[in-house]
Formats: sequence, structure tokens, C-alpha cells
Amino acid sequence: MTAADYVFWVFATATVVSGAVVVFARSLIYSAFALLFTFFGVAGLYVLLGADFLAATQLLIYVGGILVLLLFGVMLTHRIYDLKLRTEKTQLGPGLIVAAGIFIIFANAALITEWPTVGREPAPTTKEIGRLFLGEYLLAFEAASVLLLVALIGAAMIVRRKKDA
Amino acid sequence: MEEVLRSLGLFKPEIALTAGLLLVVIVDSIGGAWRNGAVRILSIATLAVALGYAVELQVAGAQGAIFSGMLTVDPLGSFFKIILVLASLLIITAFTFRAARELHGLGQGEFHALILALTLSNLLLAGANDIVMLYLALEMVSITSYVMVAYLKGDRMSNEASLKYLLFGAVSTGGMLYGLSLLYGLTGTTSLPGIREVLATGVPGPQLALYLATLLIVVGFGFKIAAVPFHFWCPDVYQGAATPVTALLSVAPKAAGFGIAVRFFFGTFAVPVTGTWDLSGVIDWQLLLVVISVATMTLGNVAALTQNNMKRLLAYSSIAHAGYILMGIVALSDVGARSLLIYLFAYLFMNLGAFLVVTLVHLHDGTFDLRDYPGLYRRAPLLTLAMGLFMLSLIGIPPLVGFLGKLYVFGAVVNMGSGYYWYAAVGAVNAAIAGFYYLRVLKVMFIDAGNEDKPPLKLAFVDRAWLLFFAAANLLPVLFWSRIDEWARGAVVLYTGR
Repeated sequence: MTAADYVFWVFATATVVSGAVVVFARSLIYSAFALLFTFFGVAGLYVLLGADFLAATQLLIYVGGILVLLLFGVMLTHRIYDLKLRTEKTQLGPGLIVAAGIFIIFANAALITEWPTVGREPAPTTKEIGRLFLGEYLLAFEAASVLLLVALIGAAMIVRRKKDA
Repeated sequence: MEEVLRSLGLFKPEIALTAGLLLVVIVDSIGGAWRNGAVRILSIATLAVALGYAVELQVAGAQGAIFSGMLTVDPLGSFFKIILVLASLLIITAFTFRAARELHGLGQGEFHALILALTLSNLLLAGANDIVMLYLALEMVSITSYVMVAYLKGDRMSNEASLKYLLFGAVSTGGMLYGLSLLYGLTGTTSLPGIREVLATGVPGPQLALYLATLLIVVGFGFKIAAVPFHFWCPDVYQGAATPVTALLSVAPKAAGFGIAVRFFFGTFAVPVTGTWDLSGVIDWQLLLVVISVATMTLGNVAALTQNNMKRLLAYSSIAHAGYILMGIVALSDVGARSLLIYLFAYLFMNLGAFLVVTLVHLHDGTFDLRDYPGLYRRAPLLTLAMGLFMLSLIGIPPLVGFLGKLYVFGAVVNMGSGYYWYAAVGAVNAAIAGFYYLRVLKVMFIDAGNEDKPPLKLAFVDRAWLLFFAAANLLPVLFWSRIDEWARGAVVLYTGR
């Protein structure tokens, strides 16, 4: 195993374990803090894949923005500390069997397929992404802004009380 | 830069819709008592302009890839654009706001903004030529739909429906995204024509990932068109949403889903030969779609038999119709694509007509329950006769427009050869089963006694006019059928280049 492999396993373990804590923790606070490590782990995986811009955005937006917002939301919510989340476990056996089956099929597919790969050293991607956003993927970039506008309208509409409408 | 300028000329319907959307948001935020009327007129004008541009594209027969291959403009796409814009236009003019009792007292600005946004994303979906654009447009359609379903804020059913829709949508589009990423990994390109070129030469090594990708992509499309087994959200969402929203969801996103499905299965997973298409690569998606189609029409029809809520009944009926329309894709021929277009054209008018009757009954009686429908013939003869026409059209009785739709899809399947006769027979048996519950609605409205004490329904003049319009749209197309047939025939031109 090379050094990169060790680093991969560290990040992958951190992501999966903290992800499990997010799902299974009984307190919302624990879940929110565990999410921090999940986001970090994913950012580390992006770095290992050579996606430097994506990793930086992951840190800036998810860890720096969304997670902080989430924590504020949790902490400022009244009586949130007393709230015990009930995670029900129904159909545990069949669920595990199906999940394991799906995992085996997908892992198998990922391992046996002859993926066409481009042997290329990791290079900085930021400049290229910027060029593509204003060139080839201009329309997708603009459509995404319309999508955000719609999401904004929708969020405002759902949150507003009925009588102010 | 030249590419962008060239593309903008072929992108006029979408530009009109985006401009209209922004104007509606701005006008609505200015405030004032006149804003509700203003946004309504603005939205109708926007959709009318977009419809004009879509017709212009269709007439010009324009084709080519625009925005560096992100979107395709071709007669097939223009046909879908016309249907999609028309659906939104009919909803805004005939259904909202006065006729929809559920929406009374709610803000109109957001509603119109959302309808325009949904139309825009439907158009993008129907023309997507790159899996990046495909996924983005699909998410745009979905997210706008979730918000529209939740529009009745105080209503628990509406919120529950929206949440169910969101959860189902998140899982199925997530699965689809995984499938698309596998496809990208296998072919090394996001462009649909590029993917077809790679698939035509074959993928080396084990094919498992390719099968999984196909399966997962079918999940995404299946969710959008509410095909079994991805239909679970459909009855609850249709029941919980405001009726105009239900009517729109039952037609527009479904048509857009079929539009992209045709593009995907014909243009990417098949190779054109004259008049027909051959499967490329090893994936026999035809068999997969036959199974889904048969399950969809059978389950939809059987489940509809026991429904008493009209919105749920029409929800199951729309599931069944998705099963029939899938026949047009399975046929994998120009005839099949044409039958799909004609069925969608027919479905637009018969389904919206039926929903309009349900909306109007709710406006006057405040009920969606079929058990409250007896005696309607005595109280509102015009409405009941119109409903009769829509139901017969949904069954597929000649000479109504629904019959022509069924004729074409069954014809396309029979054309495939004797191996598929059983499939057409299953469709015919299903049409017969469907007859039971459509005729049951008619029996309740025309024959059953009840509600003797209730006064006649006083339909507004506009509502009568719209009922007559939809009735005419179901009855008259047969008279100039050769022109519609010609239109659809000319529309079956897929541009599959980059």
C-alpha cells in the first residue's frame, strides 16, 4: 500500500463511521457534529481524486456555511436538547439482506468493469471549470441559477404563514 | 460567442418563459391591489408568446444542437414544446384562480411564477441532449413540482403529499444520477450522441455496469411518468395537491418525461435505420419496458376500479395511460414515436377536460367524492354531458380523440410483428377493464338518484365556454384528422448529432 492508499482508508473510514453516527445518534446535536466529520471526509476523498476545486467548495460551503447554519438552527431551537429522536428499526432483517445484496451487485459492477481510464496526472481544475462554465456548460450554469430562484420562491412561500398571503 | 448567439435564435420559447418568470416575480413584489390581475395577464401573455415561438420552430422544422450540444432543437422537441406550453396555458386560463376553490385566498404571484418555471424546466427536459442538462432539467421539474404540490399551506394532505413526493423523488433521481454516472464512466462522455457512438462500438469487458446504468435510468424516467413500480407517490400526490396543480402534473411533467425517454431510448440506446430503429449494444431495454408497461396499465386500471375519490381515480387512470403510451416507445419505430405523440395530444385534452369537471364540481359542491355526484345530470346537464364525453374519450370510444390515440399505439405494437400480438391484446383487455370505472362515473352522474334537495349548479359563462372548448377538442379533431396525422408524422424527426 502506498501513502495515498493509507490516506484514502483514513478518510473513507472517517466518512462512513461519522455518517453512521449521523443516522443512528439519538440526539440532534450529536448528529449535527458528526456531520462535520462526514463533510471533512468527503472533502478529503475529493482531494485524493484530484478534484481540488470541488474539495475547497465542499469545505467552504458545506462545512463553513451549511453546517454552521444547521448548528445554529439546532441550538437556537427551543427545547431541542430534551428532544429524543426515535429511530425505529422495522424490517431489520429483510432490509439488511436487500441492502447487502445491492451492495454486492454494485461493488461487483465497480470492480469487474473495464473502465476506460485516461492516464493523467492530477492538475489544477479551477481554471478549467471556470472556462467550461462560461463556455460549453453555459446553459447548465444559467439553468442552475433559475433553479435556485425557484427554490428561493418555494422556500419563502412554504415558510410564510397562511394569513399573510 | 457566435455559438451562444446562434443558439439564442433557436431558444426563443425558453427565453420568453425566463423573462416572463422574472417579470412575474418583480411585479408580484411591487405589491398593490392590482398585482394579482397583472401577474395573471403577464403569465398568459408569456405562455402565448412561448407557444408562438414553439409553433414557429415546428413550422420552420429547425434542427440542430445548441449551446455546445447541451440541447437539441428538432421537430420532435418542438412538438413536445407545443404540448407542454399549451398544457400550462390551459391550466392558467381555464382552471385558475376563480374556478379552483382550494386556491381561493392564496397568493397568486408565486403560483404563476412556479407554473412558468415548471414550463421552462419541462421544455429544457424535453430538449436535453447531454446528461448534465438532462439531470439538471429533471431536478428543476421535480423541485418545482414539490413546491406546487405544497401550495395549500394550511392543508395537511397537501403537505404530506409534497413530502412523499420529495422523498420518492429524491430516491429515484438519486438512483438515476448513479446510473448516469456509471454511463459516463463507461463511455467517457456526457453527450447523448457521444454515448451512442461509444455504445454502438460496444463496451469491452463485463457488461454488468451497463445493465445497472440502464436499470437505474429507467427508475428515474419511471418516476417522472409514474410507471409501476415507481408510481406509489402518484395517488397521494394527486389527491393532496390543489386540483389545477394535479391536472398540470398529470399532463406536463409526464409528457416531458416521455419526451426525454424517446430521445434517450431512440437516440442514444438505438441506431436509426429507415423507418425503424435497431437496438445498439447488448441492452434489451425493450423487454424491460414491455414488462413495466404491462404492469403499469394493469395495476393502474385494477386499482382505479375501487376508488371513490375522483382525484385518486384519475390518478390511477393516468398511471394506466402511461402504460399505454409506453407502447409507443417499446415499438421503437417512427410509427411508434408518432403514436406516442398523438396519444399525448389526445391525453392532454381528455384528461384536462375531466379534471376541469372535477374542479367545477368542487367549486360548487365542495366535494371530490364520487358518492356525492348522483343527480348531477339534473343539476348541471352541460357539465355532465361534457364529463360523459371526456370519460368515453378516456375509454377510447370512436370517434373521440382518445380512440385515435389508442388506435395508433395499438397499431404501432401490432406493426412490430406477431411476437407482440399478445402485448396489444393485453392493452385491449386493459382498455376494457378501464371501461368499468369510467362508465361507473357516468352511471353515478346520469342514472343514480340522490341530492334531490340541492339546487342546480350555476356555472359561470367562462366555465361553460371552457367545458364546450374541451368537449370540442375531444370531439372535433377526427374531422381534420389527416392534418393532425401529418403534423405528427412530420414531427418524428430526431436530431441525433452533436
